[in-house]
Amino acid sequence: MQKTITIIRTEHRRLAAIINCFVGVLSDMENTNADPDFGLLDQVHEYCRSFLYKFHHPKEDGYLFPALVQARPDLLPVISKLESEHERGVTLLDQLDQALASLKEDPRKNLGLYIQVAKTYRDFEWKHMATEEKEILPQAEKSIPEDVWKELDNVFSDHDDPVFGDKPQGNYENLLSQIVNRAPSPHGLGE
Amino acid sequence: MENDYIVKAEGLQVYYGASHVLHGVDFSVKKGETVSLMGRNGMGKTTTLRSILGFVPPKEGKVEIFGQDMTGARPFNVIKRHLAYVPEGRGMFHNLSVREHLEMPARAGMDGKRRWTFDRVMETFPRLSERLDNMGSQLSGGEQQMLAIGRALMTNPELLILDEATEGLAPLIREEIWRIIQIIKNDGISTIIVDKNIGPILDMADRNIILVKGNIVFEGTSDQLREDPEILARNIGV
Repeated sequence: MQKTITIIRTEHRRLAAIINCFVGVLSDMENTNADPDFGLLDQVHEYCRSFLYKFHHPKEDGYLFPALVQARPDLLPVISKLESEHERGVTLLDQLDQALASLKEDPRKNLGLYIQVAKTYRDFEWKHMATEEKEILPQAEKSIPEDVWKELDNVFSDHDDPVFGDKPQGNYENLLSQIVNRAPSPHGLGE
Repeated sequence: MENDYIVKAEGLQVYYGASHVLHGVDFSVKKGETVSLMGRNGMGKTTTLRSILGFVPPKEGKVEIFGQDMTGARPFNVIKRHLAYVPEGRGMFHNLSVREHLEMPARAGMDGKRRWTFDRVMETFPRLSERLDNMGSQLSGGEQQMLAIGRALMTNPELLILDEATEGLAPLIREEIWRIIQIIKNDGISTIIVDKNIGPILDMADRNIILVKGNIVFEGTSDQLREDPEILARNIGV
């Protein structure tokens, strides 16, 4: 059980750190009139879209949530809400991508809008992850049977399942590392 | 088995002048183990590490490193036994460049092998490769921490001691450090970790020790701490 819970918490924590860094960098850009680092912004978008929607959420939607509903049918409304939030997140990311395209066309004019959309996305993801960690994971720990946890641990630990791409875990860790090394100080290790 | 231990400290009584700081602390680390040392500020965590390393000799008690009595030995003799220390505050030499920081301590491990080479450190800490000619004092806090860890790894240690390695750093840099510590752990290097971020530490540690006013009040697994959150709440306030 603990492997799955640990993996979910680690993935949440990393995503929260990336989004926190992202909004921090944007705020600094606004305050200092610095030119946007579009390469960094592209990497953050890539991480959010690919990691969340091709790797993290499919495991929750496909394995953890069904196991929890099986054990606790009373949690179906909460789970359904979280699943629909996964879909809403895709819409918000699409809006973020559109705002980035506008930013690239005219950075001075469109930075304010991009920051607004970024903060909306950040607030959404933090609230969503908080619901999962405070309401879902504790209930899952108490309710899902041990033999089902063994199967879940295998799924969540299989970081190289080709269903999620070619060596997905390694790719996402590399991307995280690239973002850390590029993001400007104090948010990351960059200039 | 006795020869499974890298560090075995027993009954440490340590004083700073008249102030009795450690009260009979037993502390051990086995080969391949990751041990966390937790406690509020001022409870004796860094003193425990410094006592083992010889910076603060115990008034009573014994410290063995790989089975050899090193109680009160000078720190450079303790470190020579294939230990590496990344202190709180990083310990940068402000008049040495990044390259010099890394090249100076480089040596083979206990088995004669160099698993951690200059190239591997550059690959693990790519930012350092862009700052090789900068002096230690010119680096940001995060860069200095990467350099401190990289420098320790260049000694190919059996045991790496990390004292508050993520203190004062942005969340994303902390994540990168924990990711690297996991790589180090997967490499078979034993670690002692002191860090205030309990979640990631519980995920990594094989064993956890909690100190309160120089006394060990808990020693056990991360699962035990998760199952009884009152232990952390009572002793650390988290």
